[in-house]
Amino acid sequence: MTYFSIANHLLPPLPDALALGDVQQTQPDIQAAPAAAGLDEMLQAALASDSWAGIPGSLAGGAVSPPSASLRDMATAVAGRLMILR
Amino acid sequence: MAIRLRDDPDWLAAARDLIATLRVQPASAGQVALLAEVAEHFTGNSYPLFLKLLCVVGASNDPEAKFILAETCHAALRNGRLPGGTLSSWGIEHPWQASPPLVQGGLLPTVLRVPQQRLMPIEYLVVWHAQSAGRKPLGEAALRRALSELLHLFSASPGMACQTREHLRAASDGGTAGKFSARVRSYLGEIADRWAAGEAPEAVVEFLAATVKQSNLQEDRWGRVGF
Repeated sequence: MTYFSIANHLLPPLPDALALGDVQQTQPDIQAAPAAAGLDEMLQAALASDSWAGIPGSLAGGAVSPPSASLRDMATAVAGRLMILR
Repeated sequence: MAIRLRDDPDWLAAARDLIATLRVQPASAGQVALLAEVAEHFTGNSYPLFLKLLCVVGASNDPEAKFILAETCHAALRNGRLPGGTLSSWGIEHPWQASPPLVQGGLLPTVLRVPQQRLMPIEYLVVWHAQSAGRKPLGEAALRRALSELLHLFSASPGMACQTREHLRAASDGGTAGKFSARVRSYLGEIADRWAAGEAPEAVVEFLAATVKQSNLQEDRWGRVGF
């Protein structure tokens, strides 16, 4: 029995929506699958949070990477405020 | 690159650094490229974190910062480079939700292909809230805050506001039937029309949240009587 026939036996039939429209066929983000539920809760909490509670809403005074830095390095510096990048 | 959200993510510092770095770019192309590079850190399921970064700027009291980011988004949208997020097509659920043990075992990921669609920021929030997208729906509180902040941000650039509305109207056409449910298409069109008519972002979002809630209630009633 091949992987395909195993999948056909174990999975419910896919709805007709699969055949419609300009959808792209891409691989699911399996790396995130085991923690998907917790990740969604964290993402929703982030979107619902008030980032400016109790402080002025100015965005002046941000740090800038040295002029010699590449765009990628500059972007990594911004993302590094939020993520642990490995 | 493996990534993990910090225990204490500094959204304000990230937003300030983003704005400062956009300001020192000599040309619009550099700003667009920088935005794309930042978004590269928030691919897949973590795209909402990129949206949150936009939202922080949109919620600020800094019109100059909002303008420079909104103009960058406009240039990116014109060039087809505005970072988008992916959700599964309507009616499709991710395989790990249907059968987590199989997927975690590593067998099915190699044979399954889940149809994904790339969505622009506003579309992404509306679809996540109102359309079956294979994950827990975006809650109303998060929708209200994020969508209103995005509308505030994009409104800072007349060009971005206009082009985003055109994009939403195009998405509301029947030609996107495989991408959006009929309900979501109508929501996207209403958002564009109300925004163009000068309604405040909070009023636009209030309409959307109330309409989605009413629609869900009606669906529940029909479901209980056997349809």
